[in-house]
Amino acid sequence: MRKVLIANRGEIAVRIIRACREMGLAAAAVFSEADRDALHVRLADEGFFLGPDAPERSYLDIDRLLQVARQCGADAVHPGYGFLAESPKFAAAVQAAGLTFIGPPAEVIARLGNKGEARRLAAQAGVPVVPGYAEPGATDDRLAAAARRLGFPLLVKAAAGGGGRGMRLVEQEGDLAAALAAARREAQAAFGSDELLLESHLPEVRHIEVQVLADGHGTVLSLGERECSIQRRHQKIIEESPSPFVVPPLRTRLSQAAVAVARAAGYVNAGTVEFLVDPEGRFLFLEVNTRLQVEHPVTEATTGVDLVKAQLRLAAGEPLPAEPVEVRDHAIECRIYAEDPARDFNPSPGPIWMLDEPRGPGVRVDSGLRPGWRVPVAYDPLLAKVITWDRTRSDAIARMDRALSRYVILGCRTNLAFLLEIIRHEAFRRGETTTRFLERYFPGWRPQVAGLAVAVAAATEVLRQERAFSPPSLSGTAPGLGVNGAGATPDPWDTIGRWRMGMRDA
Amino acid sequence: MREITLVLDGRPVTLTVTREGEESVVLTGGHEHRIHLSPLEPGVLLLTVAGRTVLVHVAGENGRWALHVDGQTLDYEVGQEGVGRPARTGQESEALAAPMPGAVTQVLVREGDAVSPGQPLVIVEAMKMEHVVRAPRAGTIKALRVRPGEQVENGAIVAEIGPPRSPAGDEKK
Repeated sequence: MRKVLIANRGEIAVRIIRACREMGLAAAAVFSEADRDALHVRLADEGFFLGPDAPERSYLDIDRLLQVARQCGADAVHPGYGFLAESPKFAAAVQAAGLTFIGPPAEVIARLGNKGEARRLAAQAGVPVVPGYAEPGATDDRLAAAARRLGFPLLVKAAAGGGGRGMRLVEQEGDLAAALAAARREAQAAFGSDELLLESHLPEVRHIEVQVLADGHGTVLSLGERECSIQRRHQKIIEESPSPFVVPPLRTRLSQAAVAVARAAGYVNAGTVEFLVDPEGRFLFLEVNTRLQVEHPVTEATTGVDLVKAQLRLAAGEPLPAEPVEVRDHAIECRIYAEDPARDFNPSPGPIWMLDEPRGPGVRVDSGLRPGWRVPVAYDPLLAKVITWDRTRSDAIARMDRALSRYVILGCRTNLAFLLEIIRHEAFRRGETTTRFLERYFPGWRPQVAGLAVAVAAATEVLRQERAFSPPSLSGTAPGLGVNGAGATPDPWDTIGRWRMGMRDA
Repeated sequence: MREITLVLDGRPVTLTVTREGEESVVLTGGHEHRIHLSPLEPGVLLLTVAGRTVLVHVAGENGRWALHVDGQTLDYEVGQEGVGRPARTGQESEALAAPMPGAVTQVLVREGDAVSPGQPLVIVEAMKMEHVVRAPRAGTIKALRVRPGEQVENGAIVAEIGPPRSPAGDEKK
């Protein structure tokens, strides 16, 4: 393996580029019209234009991606997450083109990608599954009949789905027909299949998943669990490892169940087995994600395993070490989204006028942002992830507080203030993280507008009008702008002062 | 003394700023903030308030601004009232705005259609999410401003809803 084509964008493309570099592999990026100037394109060894903004004509265009792979001489393709990461068709096409797909074999993706089939497989492996109804090609009538048997509330899910798309919570029978129609429409658009299934909606559960690595030579390792219960609209916003709820006997049983499912599926590469866990510690299998997860860094922080490098090595056929992976310390991830939590979490794409990202001991920022860039409308609103870790959970939370407090993103509305309030909340600190957390503690959340911030805005405006203060220049993007720079700055030669080669602070 | 009007989420707030030596005294809603600001570099200032010094980041364009201080980000506009607010034309008819920038995927009604409260009118999709613009009340679709496939900005008017038709069915002109 010498060159990897990264069939993705944003922070995950940046993450994969870094792993390739560290392994001495060349990284080829791809981009759509909207991403011409994106960070991942700048950081890659080379970049290739795919097509217009619409994902179907760029990041989802299999023929075009394979054409680029051939053109640049890549011998492997990493799909990242989202887009084609869980498309068996893409994995098969990559394999058929004689390239290495960084992920499980196409047939494994197909088997586990259908949620109904994954449920049957887990049940056969002796792992309890969430009560539900999953039959291939089920019509609305049959789903409605099954819904009456299951009872409400329930979840309508896209069989081929993920990431909350094609998913609807139905509280009562009267809402079912509309939910089925909307879910089918969303599922068709997002996954090319409108097959649906039903699952009972369990109150007061935790969403806990287990990271596994499998080498295809018989070794399947568990890398411990991640607690992912804090969700909005069925999408995770805060994850941590280990789970504050899971105690050693349950941890062992979860890991054993995850390994059993992976073995039964003939799994190879990195994967995640998701469970719902009730307050009594009973767990139910939910699904398998056959890709690198957004929240993989918390596991990297607690195990010391670089999961992207592990993926690359496993795809090259290397075996895993046989000894179990040790989990230590505590890590938390907060997802920074271009969305407005005060307005129903509506997406808020926009310009990045100024950017200053946190750093320091135990702080990692996986970001796709760049000052002067414009967050496109066409893609997922995930901008960046902040991961902090320390010896204890409360220490990791303190680091997260510091990191989020000093994360400056101006121009594009984000959920930063919302995340800060969550991690400062007493219930979060107690570890009371369930899927109902946000609806219980943050219903109809509005940001507290500090009088001081408004006063500073007014005083700054006076200074600006008096020309005593200037905002950063936003006309185009200055070349050579640092990723962590505080926005567009004037020519460094104008401000550097006395300067000598090889000397600091002359 | 200067009067500054900031628009926060469509809501105008007027403040007075008075210079007292090195300090600015900002009055807002009866509260007084005594602050000292020293510009460090473009877009960055050092704020001293009550003996505490913190960094402030400010940037903006076209009258829209954002400021970061103390872990808080404030988005605001400088200028007149009502900037950026969807047009409101009273009880008679109401303009319905796109809740987010995105692409119009479906227009489910036609001009002149009678609609009931909560009825889906237009579907806007952005960042893989679909958002339904619904009728806020019973009425008649007076105008549709968008077509499927069209890109819209946040707050762009997608439709106008007028009063319901009278039971006899004759349309008011």
